[in-house]
Amino acid sequence: MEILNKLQEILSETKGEAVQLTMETTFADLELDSLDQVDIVMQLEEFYNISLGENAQLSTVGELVAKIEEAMQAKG
Amino acid sequence: MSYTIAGTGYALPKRVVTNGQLSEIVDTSNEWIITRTGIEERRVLTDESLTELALQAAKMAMANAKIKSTEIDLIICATIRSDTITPSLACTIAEHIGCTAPAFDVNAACVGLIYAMEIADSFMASGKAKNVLILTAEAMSKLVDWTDRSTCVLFGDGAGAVVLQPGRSRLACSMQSAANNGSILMPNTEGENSPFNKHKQDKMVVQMDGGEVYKFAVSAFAKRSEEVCAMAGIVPTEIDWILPHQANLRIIDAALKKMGVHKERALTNIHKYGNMSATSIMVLLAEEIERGRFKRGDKLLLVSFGAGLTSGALLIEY
Repeated sequence: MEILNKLQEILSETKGEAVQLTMETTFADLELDSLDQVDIVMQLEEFYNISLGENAQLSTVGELVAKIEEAMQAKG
Repeated sequence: MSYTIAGTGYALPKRVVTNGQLSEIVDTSNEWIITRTGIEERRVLTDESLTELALQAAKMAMANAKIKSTEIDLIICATIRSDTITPSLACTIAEHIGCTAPAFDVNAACVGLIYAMEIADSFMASGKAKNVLILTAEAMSKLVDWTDRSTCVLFGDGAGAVVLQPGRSRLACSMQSAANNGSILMPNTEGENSPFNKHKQDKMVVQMDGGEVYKFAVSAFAKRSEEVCAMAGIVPTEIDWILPHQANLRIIDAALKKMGVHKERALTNIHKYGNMSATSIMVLLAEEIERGRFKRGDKLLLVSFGAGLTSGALLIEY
């Protein structure tokens, strides 16, 4: 899936190593701190030209993908 | 006609506080602070005053510029809060050095130095001033909530100064303000002595939404930098040295990555001083000039972001 692949690419660069994701992967599993999460959301917002809202609090990859799809549909 | 940097100075409190020492005051750790911010230690005021530091920095800058106080036409001090609400710190320093030039403070938070240099440029370009003394001074240790581990570990105290004289160093500048939306706030005393006051008194400490500030900072850093480069007709990779505001090493890294500029071009002192508001870039500039980092003709980018929300970038040819 395209969004999942993009997220995988961004996360691999952030962690400095290849990251394999599923929709069930949690951000806690990925050991990302709060600034990493903000940075990843920023990169996604820029790439997809969307806004995910202030302090988008999400715990799984699946929730983030759903939020991105929702924002892209709202944009039209 | 713009300005040239004739002399710089800086002064720091003697007391060093390490991350380890902070972990005895609040629930934090050296590892947490370093990985999230890049800060290892900071300086804090104890028995010195901010005025004393600012005066020391001013005298150093004036000595390096070989200028007498009677030759100074304008004094601007960038500070959020100094030792007195009034007189301004600029006026206090004017009195100490024996200068009667116009003197005022500017509160543009962490972007204060860039704002002050632009104001100086305007005075100089219009012929109203020839020699300008700019000061930066901040006692962040007196503004933070020392029970809030998310903010008290970030900041440090210090002062710096620069004397500007006629020249052609200024290439371009871009400054902006943006909606705060509660990102960074420090309330002021709400007339607690007034028998008529009905406003609730808030705790007078710095409050910050780290995530929102990070987003704003990375974006503003990159945008202001790209704007000044476009104004000057260069690309960011042509900058010799970047002197960014020292709020968080990760902000600097993320913004440089966005701009496609190598990290080696950015100078930092955050590991030893933390975030000193407008004084961060001033001390960085002064220290690097002292160690002979720059050669004449080097393109330096001063870039900052902070409370307001303010942001600015200044491109100069050293």
